[in-house]
Amino acid sequence: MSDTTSLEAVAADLVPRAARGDAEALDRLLGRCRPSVYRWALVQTGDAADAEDVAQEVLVRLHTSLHRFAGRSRFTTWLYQVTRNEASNLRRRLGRRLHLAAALAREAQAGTEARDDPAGRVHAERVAALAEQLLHGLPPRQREVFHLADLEGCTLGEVAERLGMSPVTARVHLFHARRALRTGIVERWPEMAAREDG
Amino acid sequence: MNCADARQLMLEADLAELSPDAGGELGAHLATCRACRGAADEILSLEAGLAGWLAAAAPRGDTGAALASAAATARRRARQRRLAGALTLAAAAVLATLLVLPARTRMPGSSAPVPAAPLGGFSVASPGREVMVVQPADPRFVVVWYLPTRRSS
Repeated sequence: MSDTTSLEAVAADLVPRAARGDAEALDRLLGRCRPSVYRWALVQTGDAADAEDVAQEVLVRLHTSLHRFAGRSRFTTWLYQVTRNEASNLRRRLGRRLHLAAALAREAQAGTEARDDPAGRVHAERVAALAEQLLHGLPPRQREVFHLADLEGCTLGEVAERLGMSPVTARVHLFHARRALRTGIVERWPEMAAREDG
Repeated sequence: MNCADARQLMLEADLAELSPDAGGELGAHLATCRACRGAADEILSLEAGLAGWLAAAAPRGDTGAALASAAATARRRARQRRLAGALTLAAAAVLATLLVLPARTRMPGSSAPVPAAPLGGFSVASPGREVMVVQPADPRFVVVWYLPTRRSS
């Protein structure tokens, strides 16, 4: 079960109760939403500290605006929109472009260096480089579509609904994103291309 | 299918298609070509690593403290909104009083009180802003009042 599906299932039970004023249900809902919102915000902002700020602001929004969720869309779709809006507000407030998760890449490398596992370190370095390329190199729409479709496992219909675009457009963005990332993989590690002996 | 064609397809293929068991032309090529299968495995491995990296990303700090902070912020903002609303109403009442009172006074040199003109007030909602237009007793003047608007989520 993907994170989104799991969150949707939890929300189906908790959202109506929280909207009626059940404080315990609201706390459980917010506690469950926080990590998902953080990850979405991380993809949106590309910075761990900014993602923390966005996630915290979304929690406040859930406190003040949950009653506005009318149930016409999935809860996760609504929550994703709230997160996108807050990330956008943060970027405007900070007055700067998306900056990169170099710190996260360093963290990933540091984690493997601590394990003293050369093979693991090489893999983590590649993953960190790919994360950097994902968060920094792709246009926002492609980044969002790739994240939802290939990393979160959403269907193209779900991606389209969440991002307010047609499934065909979502597929086009996904193709472009995959092409950019996978071309990057081949370019960064030419030994893959050199193995053409088949 | 040759390797060049396979590599082009691999750049856009769904993850499930990057397997020798996936069927189709690409799957058939991957089943027989070790080099392309190695490239496909590399893509699968890195994208799985990326998904794992993102799944493991978690906010720092205690969840309980974050929830308590969010609740306190929400309560403070609600209080601020209520206060702003009350101040706006009070200011509107003061302004309306100031506009109506002169209309009930006598005009210079006249013994008859000037009848109070009906106070025409209406609000216009424009994108991102609320405006109140008040027509006082003297038709030469119109008071336009910009009201603070609440942010919507």
